[in-house]
Amino acid sequence: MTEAFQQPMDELDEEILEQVLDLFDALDPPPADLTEEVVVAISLAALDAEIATLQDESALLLRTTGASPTDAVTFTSSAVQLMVSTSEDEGDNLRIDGWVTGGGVEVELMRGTESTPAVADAHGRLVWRRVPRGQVRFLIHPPASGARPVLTPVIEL
Amino acid sequence: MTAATSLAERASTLFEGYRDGEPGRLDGLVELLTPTLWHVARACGLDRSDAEDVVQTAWLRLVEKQATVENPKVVLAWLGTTVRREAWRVRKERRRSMTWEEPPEQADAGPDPADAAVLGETQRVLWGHFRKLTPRCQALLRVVSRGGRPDYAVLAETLGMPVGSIGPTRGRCLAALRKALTSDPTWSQT
Repeated sequence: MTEAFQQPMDELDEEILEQVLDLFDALDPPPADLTEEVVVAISLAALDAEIATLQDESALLLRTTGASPTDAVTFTSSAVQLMVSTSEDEGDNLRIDGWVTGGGVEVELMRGTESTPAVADAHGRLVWRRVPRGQVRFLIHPPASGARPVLTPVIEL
Repeated sequence: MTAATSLAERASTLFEGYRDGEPGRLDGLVELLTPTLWHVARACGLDRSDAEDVVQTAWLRLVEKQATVENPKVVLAWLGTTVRREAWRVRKERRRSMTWEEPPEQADAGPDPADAAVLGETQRVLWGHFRKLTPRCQALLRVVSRGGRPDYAVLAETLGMPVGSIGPTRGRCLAALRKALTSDPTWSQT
């Protein structure tokens, strides 16, 4: 006699596998934004951006509680420098002030899959208002034609 | 799921389109396969955060090495195998970076039993029996269930398990689960 495991699969087997599928969809689904994150990661990789370095590694977390002075972090790359600092804004949101080496430089504030571009004024100043807390990174587009874009590491606000 | 809509086949069509100069097809491919790759990574014992990283790494590697994937039909197998190898590498690294004070590394045991609160009655019964399977069988059934009949062999191979561990015959893992379920009067087919 053929043992049970050697028999061809039938409808009940298919049904059980379908239940297993549903089980893991309920129990351990992928994070909701995983697919989008992959898409963003692929498009960032395609930019062939230079990765900026964080000058003070200890400043990975910007502290913006109460009256304490706000820390600022500086990112450096071969072509540009970007300094950012945060302060309280409406609600629980933050205001991010940035200074980039060069007027007219476009800098994108990237939160997950969202991007908010800002263009530096003649003094290199940038501002983003009402930014929710969380992880962000910046994508800098140096104005020189042919210059590689610069991507900063992720920081926690 | 019929042969015409098997995961592997749909993936192959999208990948071919992408390589033939329709970059938008890649988003469709990512959407189609990312959940399956997630379950491969988790079945390989990675915690949720490492599983996310590894899935992302596999996709970036596909984009980088797309030209070397000769046959678009193998793109599912290629990605799945990349996830598994990368998962092994990450787990090995985790072990190496441990100091003697830390407890011995354990593979992530998967979902917490407390998570079973989200389950319906039939699912709870299924989960109860599923958890008693060997880790190898749990991994196999979890990953294979993501595809249809024509995908079983590819998905099993992705985990490094031989062709024939499931489909066209039932295989030992599914036979064990089926036996447990059919002898439990509280389990019902949906």
